Amino acid sequence: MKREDLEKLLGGYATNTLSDAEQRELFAAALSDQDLFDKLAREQPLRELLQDPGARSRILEALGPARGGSERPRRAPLWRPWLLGFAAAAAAVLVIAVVVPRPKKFVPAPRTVAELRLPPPPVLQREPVKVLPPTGISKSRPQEPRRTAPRQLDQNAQLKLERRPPSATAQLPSAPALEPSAVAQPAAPLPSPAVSAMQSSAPAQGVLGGVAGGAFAPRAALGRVRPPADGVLLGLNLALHYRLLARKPDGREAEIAPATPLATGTPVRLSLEASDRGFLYVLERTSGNSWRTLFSTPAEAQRIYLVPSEGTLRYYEPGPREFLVLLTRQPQPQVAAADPDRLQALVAQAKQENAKRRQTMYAVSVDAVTPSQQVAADIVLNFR
Amino acid sequence: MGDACGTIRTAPRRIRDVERDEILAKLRERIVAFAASHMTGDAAEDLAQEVLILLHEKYSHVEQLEDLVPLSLQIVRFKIISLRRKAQRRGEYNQVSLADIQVPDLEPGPGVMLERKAMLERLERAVAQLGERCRELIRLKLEGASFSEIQKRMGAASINTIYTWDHRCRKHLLELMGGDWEPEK
Repeated sequence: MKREDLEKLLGGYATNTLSDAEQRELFAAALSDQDLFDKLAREQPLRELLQDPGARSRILEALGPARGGSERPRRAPLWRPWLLGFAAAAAAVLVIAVVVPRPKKFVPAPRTVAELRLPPPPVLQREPVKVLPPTGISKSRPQEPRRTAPRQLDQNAQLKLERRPPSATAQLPSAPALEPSAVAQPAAPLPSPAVSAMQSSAPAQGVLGGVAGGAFAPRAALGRVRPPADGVLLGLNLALHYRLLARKPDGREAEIAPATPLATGTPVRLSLEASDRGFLYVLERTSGNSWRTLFSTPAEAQRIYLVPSEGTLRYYEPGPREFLVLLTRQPQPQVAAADPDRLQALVAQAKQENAKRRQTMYAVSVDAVTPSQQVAADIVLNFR
Repeated sequence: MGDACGTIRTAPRRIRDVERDEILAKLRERIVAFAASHMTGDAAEDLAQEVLILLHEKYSHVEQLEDLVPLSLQIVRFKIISLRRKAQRRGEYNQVSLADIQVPDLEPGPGVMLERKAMLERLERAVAQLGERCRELIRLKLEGASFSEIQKRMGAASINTIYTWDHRCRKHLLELMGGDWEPEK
């Protein structure tokens, strides 16, 4: 590329639009050309601004609605059948776009980092009410069925009426049937919140969500901790969502499962997101079996932190690489130099929970919400 | 990566080390010259030295040119902002001894956030004044499309056309922003 053509690539630096080849050309030229380097350095504030998704959204909003279509004027005659079909489809889309009300301002939906749900509350099984005919009254005389008013139970229990079994109503004329939904189902014993959150491994009814979600739980399941429709709100627990990103040959990053074997030299990054404000630490196990801090930062709620924030991690020798991600309520300035037994206990606990939850990419603390609350995740990358 | 990678510095690694050292040597030269336009010569030398120390000690795992250049530019910017703040507080430019070098987490502080907010507002006003083609092009870039994808989506004859359009749009946007993305300090 000529020097003046290289300068045209500057516009792609701030928006991160450049392909790997374009980046290499531009950066290599900038290393030998002070003027180009200075121009690149002056793009840095814009690049940092546009790395913020919120800022991007605002600029996109300021740009106005997408125009659609190609830059060049259409040359094909409009009478072609496929064009007519396209025009009809476009008209239908336009009608829908006009009819369906749209929000005027883009407001990003809240995302869940993790969600705690409990099984449906147990249903109190009531003994069927037996109504005996009063003495002296003919058995053939119809009698109004009696319904007992529900009793007030504790908060977590839900009162439901049981359908009268045929044997109980055999001597009576037909009683008004209850709604099928009111029929009590066999109730499972209510586990403690901690047990239910940690023991669940499948997104089954009652106990599911980010706490024990699968490796690639849909993002739709992500939001603030909120009262589930059929569960009990436990409060704002500390939760961590982590992802492993591997860079493809075309320069784009893609999420992969942590158990995926990686070729040596594959550029990887960790993506971390906390449910609440806290302090994030990423420790790496060294060859001497101790830990060293790879990354530490105060963490904002529901903000994604990349490790490393610039560049990637690359390993050129086969074998496992182990990381411990720690999210704490309080700062832990000397976390890597902490008691090795304590760190090892955290790793063991994280491994145990990982095993229970298979390939989960979430970790959550279900302890009481206290300043000492923390959550740990153990990540092992296998290079071959 | 420090200790973790200590065992992997074998033959192929040496070639990478050489390449990395060459890149860092050139970077140092460029950073000194760039910083010299913002501060005194000695301070520029010190700043370049600090950047290189960080790249060597904290970011030793970053090896590729396409990673090293943006990272070093980010650190340079952080350091320049930091030195400016210090000079404003103390009323002088202070050389930072090697023992006092801070390891930046590269997270924006409140002052940077405020500047970013102001910049964002100026940028919003500026992009709204751009022509339709420029707005479309910038939108596609912000949506993550590469130049080749933009070429297809905008129906341009060649990718060079897109480069040229983007260059003109950027120039126009920069003019609307007063010639610099950030206001003069």
